[in-house]
Amino acid sequence: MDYIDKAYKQFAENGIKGITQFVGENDTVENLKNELLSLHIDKLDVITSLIKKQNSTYNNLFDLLSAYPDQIKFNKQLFTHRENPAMNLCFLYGISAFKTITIPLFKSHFKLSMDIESLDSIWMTMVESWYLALDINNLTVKHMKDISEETAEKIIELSKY
Amino acid sequence: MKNPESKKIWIEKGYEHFAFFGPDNLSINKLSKEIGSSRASFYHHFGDIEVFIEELLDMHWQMGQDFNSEGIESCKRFFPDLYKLIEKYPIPLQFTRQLFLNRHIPAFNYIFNKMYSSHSHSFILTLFSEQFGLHESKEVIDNLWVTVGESWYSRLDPNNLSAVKMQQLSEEIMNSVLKLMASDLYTKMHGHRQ
Repeated sequence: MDYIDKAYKQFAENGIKGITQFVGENDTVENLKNELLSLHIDKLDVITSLIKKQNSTYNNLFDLLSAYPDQIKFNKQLFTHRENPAMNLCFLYGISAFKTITIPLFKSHFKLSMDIESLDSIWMTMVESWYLALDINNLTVKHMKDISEETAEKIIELSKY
Repeated sequence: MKNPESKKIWIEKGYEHFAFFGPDNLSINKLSKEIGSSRASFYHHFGDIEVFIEELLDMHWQMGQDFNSEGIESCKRFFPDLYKLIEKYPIPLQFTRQLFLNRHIPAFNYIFNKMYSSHSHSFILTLFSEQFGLHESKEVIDNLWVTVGESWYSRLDPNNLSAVKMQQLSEEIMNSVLKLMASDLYTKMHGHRQ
């Protein structure tokens, strides 16, 4: 495995502190972090194009995602460190890239009929609550689906606002 | 018979307590002592704390709409107008900060997101784009502004909510964001979105 792939995996598991061992003598943690974020964007693009090709349903999104545990863990690290602009922007990049596919599937799966602005806020809350509930040591399809259903149940009630 | 004035006093004081001390420290006893009303009056008006919190969120949403109307009317520039306006709403600002700090509760997170989006689309994104000469797509600008907000709320000092201090924090964060925008990483993100 290439050092960058090893560093990616370490970042996904342990965040910034996991990658210090991969920083070269003449380099910085910041540079390596940006390199990993860039690699993550490439990986997200691959997943997005796969989902687009597959005519997915809301439920089989999780079958597809379960094949990418490192990317999910990496995204959870980004989510946890949203106060860092680069990490947050990268996290939002993922949400933006996926949402043209996922929001219509979410809307249809839960038979929602609210306006687009409310749907956007509901979806954002849904994604954030999902990552919060996500146990990175249990990235099974069942766990990911279960927390999605539980989270959605709580959040859809909020659409009255 | 329910007295609407008494209900209003409970909500106004509860709103302040939520804003200053957070949802975990919202105490019917404390509120009751402070407003000189019995606990029975609270249960008479609201039944339970969840219904009370819903009323507080409704009030906050209304405050947010007032903020938008005033922003559209009075903010002509991002700096300093936006921060002068925010300074005029210290309690709603602290309330929003509490929502941000307690985003693990879906209702709080949802109201935070929806309100942030409502302010953004009412007037802030236009001012933000003009201030920093941003010509990206609406979605990219939206994500940049959310990024600023995430960092701003996580670093906001509730003991110093002066317009000058809040603007200074925003400028510091924007400096990092502008550096990021000049990076290869940003070019890649932006390029991939086209």
